Amino acid sequence: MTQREDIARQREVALVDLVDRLLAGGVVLGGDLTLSIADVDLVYVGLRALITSVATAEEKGLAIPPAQGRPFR
Amino acid sequence: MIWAYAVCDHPDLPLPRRRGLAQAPLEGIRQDGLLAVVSQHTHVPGDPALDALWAHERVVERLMADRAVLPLRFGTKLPDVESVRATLAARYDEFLLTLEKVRGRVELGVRAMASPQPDGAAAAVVTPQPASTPQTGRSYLFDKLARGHRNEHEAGAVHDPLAAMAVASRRSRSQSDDEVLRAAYLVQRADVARFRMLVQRLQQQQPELAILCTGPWPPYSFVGAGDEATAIRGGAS
Repeated sequence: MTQREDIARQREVALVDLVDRLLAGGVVLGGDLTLSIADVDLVYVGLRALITSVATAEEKGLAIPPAQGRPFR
Repeated sequence: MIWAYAVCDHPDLPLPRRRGLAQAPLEGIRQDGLLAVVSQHTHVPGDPALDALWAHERVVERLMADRAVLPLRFGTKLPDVESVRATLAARYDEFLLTLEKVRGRVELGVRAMASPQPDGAAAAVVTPQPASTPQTGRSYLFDKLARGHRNEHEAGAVHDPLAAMAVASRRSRSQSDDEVLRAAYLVQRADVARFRMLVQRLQQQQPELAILCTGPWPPYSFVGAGDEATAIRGGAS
């Protein structure tokens, strides 16, 4: 595996681990969760697309700035 | 609307000044010896954008730095303070018990991937495809079976020594053919470095795998429903 593939894969693993834990792990309080199982699947799809596009951009030598603070409102 | 991050004990410990989702300040809602850490919102947050996931995660990680925490699933919302108190009261004993189980411990994630085969190398990272089309259904099934046995053998060689060092462990179903092992380990804080060294050693022993270790995470995989699947290492085993 080249170093670039290695980094892309590590990044992918960290993000998938984050999503796995936050959306499928943890204590469930009551029934009012934001996301249904179907939504969780969509998150994975979106995540894949994001990771792939970052990896592709890096492949082409483009630097993507890290996401800036300020989450949604 | 109340967004909840975690349940802790020691409700008198001051809350960190870190902000939560949408930069909202953290608040504690107390019920006897338990504290729910929340933020209040007029709009409903919950778009699972990566920013929001990380914002939730960082709050829980910060809490974990100086107390035992039960991380709540992302998206846990309750209508008002009273309903939070009622939930804490209803599950009081369960929460105290689980807090004891995770106190002083963290979760580490381990994933072992089969290295891409040379003939399928380019496609293997994102969308694993069969490297070649099998000629018959029979040979396809034999291949699949052989791969399953091989993967299980490799998975055990990684998982067993790690599980022996952990307080508890939990394996999840692999999500692709090249994912040999996907597991979470509950580890004493003091053992994290030793655990990572063991991962490195296993990686050297199994160069055909890519073994990736993430964390320390809050103990998301050891506090939830379905926990009966968790293998707790006890005196008997």
